[in-house]
This record gives sequence, structure tokens and C-alpha cells, in this order.
Amino acid sequence: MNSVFINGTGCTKFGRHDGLSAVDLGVFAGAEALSESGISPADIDVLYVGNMLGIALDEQGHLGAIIAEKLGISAACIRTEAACASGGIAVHLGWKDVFAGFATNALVIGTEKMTDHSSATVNQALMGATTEAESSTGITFGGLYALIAQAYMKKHGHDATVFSPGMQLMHRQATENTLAQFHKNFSNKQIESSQMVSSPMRLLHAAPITDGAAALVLSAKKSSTQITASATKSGPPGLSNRADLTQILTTSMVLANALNQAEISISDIDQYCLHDCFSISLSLAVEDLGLAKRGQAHSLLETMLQRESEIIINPWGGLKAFGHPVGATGVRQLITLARNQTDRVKTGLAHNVGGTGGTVVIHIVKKA
Amino acid sequence: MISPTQQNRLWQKDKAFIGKSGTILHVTTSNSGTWALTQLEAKKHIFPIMPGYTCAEGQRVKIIMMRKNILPDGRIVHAPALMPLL
Repeated sequence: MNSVFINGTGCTKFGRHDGLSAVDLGVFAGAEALSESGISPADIDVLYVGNMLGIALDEQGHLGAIIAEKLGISAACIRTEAACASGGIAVHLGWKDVFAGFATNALVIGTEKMTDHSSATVNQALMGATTEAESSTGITFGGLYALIAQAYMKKHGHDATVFSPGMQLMHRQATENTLAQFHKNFSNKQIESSQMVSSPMRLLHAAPITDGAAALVLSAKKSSTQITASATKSGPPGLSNRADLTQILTTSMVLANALNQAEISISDIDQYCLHDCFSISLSLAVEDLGLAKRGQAHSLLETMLQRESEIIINPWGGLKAFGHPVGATGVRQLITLARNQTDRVKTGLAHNVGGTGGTVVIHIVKKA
Repeated sequence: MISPTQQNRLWQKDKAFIGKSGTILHVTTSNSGTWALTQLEAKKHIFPIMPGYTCAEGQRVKIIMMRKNILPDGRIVHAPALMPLL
């Protein structure tokens, strides 16, 4: 078995890219990652492209071969789809190939083009991530996460203000990130008075619609960042089949696998990239990973907001403020962890969720 | 994507479909006015709530009719809608 290292990273600015397609964005990020790695396209053994909406929105699904041709790669090319975890799954597959010795070098790209279409069209396409029984009622992901939030508030006796500190924190942490979609701070009052999407989820509780791409060159060749764990598992894709709406049990199970692979405990993690597609999903992630007691995620996030905590969560703004091009997010999270490493911040965990928990992927990276 | 015809077929696949008009359900959770996750015995389903009504956790609701639902892309589907029982 090989150790797997990140040899190169590439990332477009997240936001709106008029005139550029998912292919263009993916090629940009892939070329940057290849350049940083110093590895020639001819030496790439496999390419995985994470993408969710190419077929639904742009009638383009063969992104592996199309991007490979533009990058000068003739190796095996595969598009991966696992809803908002499409990127995380692409990294997992690339990691497995290098780990098992089937590849020496794997290029992993996550790319998504979302802003060419109305939010109604995008929301409808995103519903491909849940079950037919749920999508056929006309519910959207805002509605599904709103149902989860209502159950969470009822169980723990909270009102919707508990979701504000996390969203305020995500926006503050993105202000210095030149690649982020938003560079604006919001007060609790602004968050709590923003447009209602689906009670209690408001506009400023939700990650935006975003164009963007991210890429990694994974290799058996040693570099400064090693991926020490890559774990994934599927869970019920529909809320109707969940025993408890106030946690994603799959996250806890995947976490145990990942910590076991990396041979560390949760207290060894210095920084986290969590899947905050909605404010409630940030709260669930914090609690499912054991960073706060059930119902108390807001206390930790408030402490972070007051700069009174050592924990680092979504240092460049998370999905909420960095942006959420759904197929790229799982790849981008590892770039954040790799580029944010220091002598003090050595070990990081990336947590990527598809749908409302149908797929969960966790990666652990460490400074080699 | 599911078409209205496919959806009706899906609902009719199970003869004892939970969405039959007149069925009484218990609300597991609701987002205050648009959708509710409901439960009847072991079966759980998400249904739209009739416009103008709300239903809260623990409340009993009745499936009263097929509500015309307009999906974000403009397609029309008919979903069984919930009316709270007072």
C-alpha cells in the first residue's frame, strides 16, 4: 500500500463566471494543480471529475474525457456523481487508486457551473439528490433542511437565533479570502431579518449558488501534505427513512472509520472543513463530530466568534461564504486544509455531505 | 426528473399508499406552513400543507385532496396535501 500525498492544488475564484463553462473552470483548476505539482499530464494515470449538475443543467455529462483532452491527458477518465459530495467521492476514488498501487499519480477535479440558470431551475435540479417520493411533493433542499431545523429546535428548546453565530462566523472568515464568493460581514440582526426561504431557514442561513472548480494532484511521491484517511459511507437519502432528524448518524460512523485509518483521535485534529450548506447542517456537523454536546453547537460557534476558542472551523468561510459549486466543494475543502497548514496547524479534517446525508465523505490530512 | 405520470404510478404502486384521501397522520416535524414530515405506524412521508394552514409537531392531520403543486421549473404535479385537524 502506498502513502498518498497532495502534490498540487488548483482552485478558481468561486462566484459567478459569465462565459465560462464547467469544462473551462475544471481545465483552469486542473492546469493550476498540474503546474504546482510539476507532474506532466502524460504521467497522470487516472482522472476523476466530480460534478453533479452537468447533465441536468447543461446536458453535458462526459466531463472526464472532455477535460482530459484539453489538459493533454489520455489516461482513464471518470465523472463521479454523489450530489454535493461528488467532489469528495472523486478524491476518495483517486486516493484509493494511489493507495492500492493502481496509479502513481491521480488528478482529481471538482467543477460546477450553476449561475447560468434561474435559482428555481437549479433548485429543481438539486432535488435529484433526494428520493422520488420527496422531490415529487415539490419540496426543495431549503424545505428539507428547514424540517430538520424545526425538529432540532423543538428537541433542544431553541429558537432560530441559535443559527446566527455560525453564519456570522463563516462570513467573517471569508473576508480575507480572495477566492471566496462573498467578502462581506453580516450582523445577527441582518441574518435574522433576511428573506425567509423555508421557515426557519432564511436567505443568510443558506449557501449560495456558485460557479467554481478545484483540483488536486494526488501522488505516491512524497510532498508536504499527506492524506492519512479517506472514508465514506451511504445513509438514508430521504428524511422519511431517518430514525432521528437531529443528527446524521452516517457522519459519526464515517468519522470512526477515518480516525481508525489515520490512527489518531479527534483531539489530534487542528482544523476542520465542515459541510455548512445550511446553518442547521453546520450545527449537525459540529455535534456529529463530537465537537459540542447535542444542541450546543451554537455555544462553540459563539465562542469562536468572540475569538475565545482554539478550534478552527472553515477557516476560509465554508460553503456559506466561500461558495458552494456543488461538485467542487469536496475537492476545495482539501485545498483549504492543505494551504492553511502551518507548523502549528498540522492535521485537518474535511467533511463533505451529499443531499441530507445520503453520502458522507471524510478525509484527514496531515503535514508530512 | 419525475413526470406527473411517473409520480402517479409511484403513488399507486403500493395499494395501501399512505397518501390515500382521508388518511389520518401524525406530524413528526413541520417547517411552519409549507411541508410536514408525517407518520402513520412505521411509514413516514413528506407532504405539502394546504396553503394558509400550519401544523405543528404531534398534531393530527388528514390528507384531504390532491393539491396542485407547481415545481420550481414550472411543471405541475399533484401531491396529496394535509389539512390540520383541530
